[in-house]
Amino acid sequence: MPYTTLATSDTPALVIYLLDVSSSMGQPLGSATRMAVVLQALNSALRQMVYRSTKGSLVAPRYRLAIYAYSDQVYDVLGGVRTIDEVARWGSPDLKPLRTTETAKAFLQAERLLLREIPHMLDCPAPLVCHMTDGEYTGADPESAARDLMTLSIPDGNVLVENIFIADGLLDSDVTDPYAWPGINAATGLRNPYANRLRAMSSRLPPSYRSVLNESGYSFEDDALMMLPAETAELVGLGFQMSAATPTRAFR
Amino acid sequence: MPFSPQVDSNLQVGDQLLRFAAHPTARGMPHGLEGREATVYELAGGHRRWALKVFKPRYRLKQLVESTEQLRPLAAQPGLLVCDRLVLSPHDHRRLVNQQPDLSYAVLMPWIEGPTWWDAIMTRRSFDRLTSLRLAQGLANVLARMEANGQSHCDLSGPNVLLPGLVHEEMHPVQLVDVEQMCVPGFLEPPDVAAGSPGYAHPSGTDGSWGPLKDRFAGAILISEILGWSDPAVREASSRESFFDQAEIQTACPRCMVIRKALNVGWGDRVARCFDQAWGSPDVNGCAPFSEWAAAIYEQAEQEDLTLQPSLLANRAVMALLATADRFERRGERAAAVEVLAQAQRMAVPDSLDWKVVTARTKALQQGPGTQTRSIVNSSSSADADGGLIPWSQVSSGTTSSASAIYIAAFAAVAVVLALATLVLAPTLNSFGAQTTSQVGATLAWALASMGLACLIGIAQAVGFRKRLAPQRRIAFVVISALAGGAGGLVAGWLWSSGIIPDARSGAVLGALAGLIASLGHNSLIGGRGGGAKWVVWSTISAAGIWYLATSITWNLSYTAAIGEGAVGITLLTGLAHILFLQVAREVEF
Repeated sequence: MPYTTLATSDTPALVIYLLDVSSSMGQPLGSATRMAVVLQALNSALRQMVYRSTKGSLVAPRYRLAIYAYSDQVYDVLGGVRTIDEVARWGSPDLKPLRTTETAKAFLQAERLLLREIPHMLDCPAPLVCHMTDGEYTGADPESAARDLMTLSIPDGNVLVENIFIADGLLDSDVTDPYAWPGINAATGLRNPYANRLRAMSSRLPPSYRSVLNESGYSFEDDALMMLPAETAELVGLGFQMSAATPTRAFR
Repeated sequence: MPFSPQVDSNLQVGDQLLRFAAHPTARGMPHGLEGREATVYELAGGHRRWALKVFKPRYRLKQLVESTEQLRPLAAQPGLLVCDRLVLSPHDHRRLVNQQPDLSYAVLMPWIEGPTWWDAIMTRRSFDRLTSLRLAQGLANVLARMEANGQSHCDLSGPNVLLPGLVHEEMHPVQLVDVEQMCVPGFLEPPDVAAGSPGYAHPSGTDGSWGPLKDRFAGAILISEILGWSDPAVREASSRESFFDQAEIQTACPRCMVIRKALNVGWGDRVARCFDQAWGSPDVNGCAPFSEWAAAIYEQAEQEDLTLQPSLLANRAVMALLATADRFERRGERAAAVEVLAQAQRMAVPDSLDWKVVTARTKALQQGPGTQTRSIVNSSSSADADGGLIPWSQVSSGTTSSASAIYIAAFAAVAVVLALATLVLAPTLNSFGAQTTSQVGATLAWALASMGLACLIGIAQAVGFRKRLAPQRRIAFVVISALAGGAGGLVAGWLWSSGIIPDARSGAVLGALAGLIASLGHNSLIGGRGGGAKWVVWSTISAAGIWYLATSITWNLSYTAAIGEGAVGITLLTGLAHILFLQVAREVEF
């Protein structure tokens, strides 16, 4: 059954974050800037990974992370792939808004990284690429690059691509209670054309991930996709939680 | 938002003020441990340490109040200190639970100092024989006592066995945590019983059923691990988070050989038989009772050999490597593709279909044109292999600076062209101006002049905005600029010629209209995502000001001089205004 390999120290999960740091990330989302909300959500996701990797006083290297921030260029925030215990020792990264949104470049860098990593992680959980953006790309169309990524596979399953789209009024009806929200599926009405593009670039939420999230009180349905219409800070947070939902030993 | 405490934040429980302690190895995070049902936080209060267990929503059950009452008397039993607990029920702790709904039915209990058995395995912490003996005997005694009382922990694993004896000699060497699922006579079966933890679960799944014998298999593995740990061969052979991987349980794997040998040689045949009994048991009932383990620890016994079973490599792994090699080949990185194929060949069973496919692919690649030299062996952080990837530490304001430089260059180029054209074509422009005004009237002459200038400014803007503009939209962008200038000129010219605004203020009207119309049109082409409104306001106001200034200065000059100086000034000032705008409105992405 795909996506059931547990994230352990021997078989760590690889999560690649592609974070849009274009200048519009300086705009407000609630009482903070979008960038501040994203950094807080990323910090919460890292914290969740740390908690899931701590069983005493140590943090086990159950997750391996790469964080690419992209604007006109793609920036390597962690200086390569780092284990969660390393990231935990350094503390959360800090980012600032830059300029444009070269999304395709970010996906191409993710592909480069995955091609190098896959031969070394055949026993590991399928890698996850978590892409966060707040608007339409500049430069080349990222859809084909994202779809290419989704065809890469290891025995546990194809590479998962998640999209967190920070924008207003994406859905026909607001998500008033994230815990009761069933998620976006192929039939969900989306008002924004780019949101439709991102949906096409999003993997289906694997049952094992759904189980981990629903254990925490959420209500994702069978056909939910790995896409979050992040209209509020809470939904941004949920998007990043999803990226940390690779089953670990604790969830067997 | 889910409960997310900060380091050193306070929690008032009754009359106790507790403080969230920092994670010992994760910077800036509270010390938290997440399991299947809950996250446990370490807190400090008074001279003691506390553990706060915050359950996930589906495990926040009213039964926790009753089970807490039932568990509390067990705290007097060796190894069950955490049964001394308090549940934060909405009834008894209304104020706290109202403030923090996620704390409903959270449990407060003593924090047990000392590493977990999981910690010891993770760090390959070395023990001498005496320590192994003390810890294993402690665990066997705790479990034997529980078994005699008809109790079982029901989720025994490395993280749930704490070793305070390694920190405080005077303490009982072993304490169990995560006791909510305990099976005790008179307790009701919990709704979600853990199926067993990887590395400790009986393959039959019989330890998935709640009952007094449920610990037997996991306990047998734990005692064996602890006893064997004083043998360096066992420590070296261990998997990362438990000695065995779950897939190895009850198989004749190399690790089984190692630990069995260590038990037999180090602790005698009777201990080894207890292990064998568990390892071969069809279900948990077939495992040795803990009283037998406790008695057997010191006895000698004979050694039994086990055979190796080579692990089978999944065909899917070979397929994944083939696909990866494919991708490298498509990218022209043939050396990397060959390297991946070599890995696939090593994994494939010789002469199998997979092996033949991999061999054929490798041969075809090697016979092809020259290969590139990039290696994939050392993964992760090699920045040189990441074309175009820049360390975040090198981020500076360079992006904005380079954008500004491009702007200045574009607008300056247009200005220079205009200045030269005015100088060279002065007589022609003069006669053209006079002819146009007489032929089409002053209004249209205004419109044509402003359209031409707006067109040139549009070109300069399009150069600056080129990253935000799809190539097919760039012409439309310039056309919109020109039409906006024309429209502004038409209105301003009419206002001037009809005497409604007979002075330089008509230039302000022209600029305002041109700026407004152009920026609205540009927004739709750029696909703005924020900052659009600012751009419209700025464009309208700055264009009005710039055009007013230029018109005022050149109002009394000849046609050529007015056109030339005005155009050059407007172009340069517009460029500067754009740069200023980009500095002020950093959320605008052009």
